[in-house]
Amino acid sequence: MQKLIAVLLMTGVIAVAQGQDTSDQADAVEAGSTSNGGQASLRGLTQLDVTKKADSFKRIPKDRSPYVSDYVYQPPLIPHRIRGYEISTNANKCLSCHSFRNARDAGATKISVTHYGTREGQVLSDVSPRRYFCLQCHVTQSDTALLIENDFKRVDSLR
Amino acid sequence: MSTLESIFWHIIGYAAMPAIFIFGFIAVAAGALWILSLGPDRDA
Amino acid sequence: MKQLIKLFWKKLSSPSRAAAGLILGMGFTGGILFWGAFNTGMEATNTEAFCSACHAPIVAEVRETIHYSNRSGVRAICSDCHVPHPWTDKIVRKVQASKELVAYAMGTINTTEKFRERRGYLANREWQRMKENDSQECRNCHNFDYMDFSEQGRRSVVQHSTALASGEKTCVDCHKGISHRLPDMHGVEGW
Repeated sequence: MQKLIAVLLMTGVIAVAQGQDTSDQADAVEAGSTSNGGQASLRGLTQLDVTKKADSFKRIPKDRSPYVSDYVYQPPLIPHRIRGYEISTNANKCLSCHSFRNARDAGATKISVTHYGTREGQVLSDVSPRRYFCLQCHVTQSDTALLIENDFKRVDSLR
Repeated sequence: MSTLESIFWHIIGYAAMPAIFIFGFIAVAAGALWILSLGPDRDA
Repeated sequence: MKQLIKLFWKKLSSPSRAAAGLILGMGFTGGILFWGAFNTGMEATNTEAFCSACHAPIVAEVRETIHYSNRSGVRAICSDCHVPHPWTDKIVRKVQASKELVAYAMGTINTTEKFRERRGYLANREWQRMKENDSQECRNCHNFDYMDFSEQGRRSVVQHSTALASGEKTCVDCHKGISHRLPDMHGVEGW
């Protein structure tokens, strides 16, 4: 009888000890976990500590007709490649076609008059420095699927 | 580059061409004479 | 020295004991060797490594451009654009390069500041040269007569089929900055 009680006690202690171990493991999962918890992201379903294979480079269409604006005051999208186009204090390649002076000869859209004003609304005689770096607002588009499927529609006036 | 400078370089440049040929001839001739002096034209 | 020349001339003008064929063969071979060595040496001054020795920052700028690395791997090095291809024009340019040795000795652009100041002048000189020879170095590879307009973008088709075709403009008029960064473009036509 006493032996039986001793054996039962031992198994009980071992069970509790094992129970302790699993609760430690549960703590570890919460504290330094690298699991994505089943949540998909732009990286797909990869775990946090796994480096996903890089996507291939996206291609930008060489030169197509201008994009229709999606919303009022949208900085128009760039419909052509801009590899190697220098924008520096020495030269602004974009303006060599899109400035008021060059646009007609180049057959390009003129930049809008909004580019000639200071922050306070004062009109300057040349492109304002705050609008000089075109790529801060204007971007090219790449030939690829939407990042997130959506059913965005333009307002009636732009459709 | 002004026209005058361009003319200058063209004159010098075109003069360099026969100069190269003449210099080349002298170099090859000197070399050939030396080789000949070791063989057929040995002064002995 | 004078004795040496007299001796040389004496040897040249006296007959040799060797056979005519041997002498002619030596002359022929010597001529080939000289011409090969001369042109090999000259082509060595056309390599990227040679130009980089003094013009390293400019060569580094080319590394961002399409003439350095592109889809097809067809590329251009310094001499393809800056040294004329025909032999006679190449020799004229090489003789003219002695001017660069003088500039090197005088340290005309041996600091970044000096180079920046002089950059506009240097760029204009090259653009002027290319305008005068109708962008011949561009046309060494990019032959207008064989341009396929169905493969070009819209803007290129418009510009190439009008201004370039009529001869009104030459390549370098529009394609400034295709290979190196631009100097101060203030006042440059079309900018």
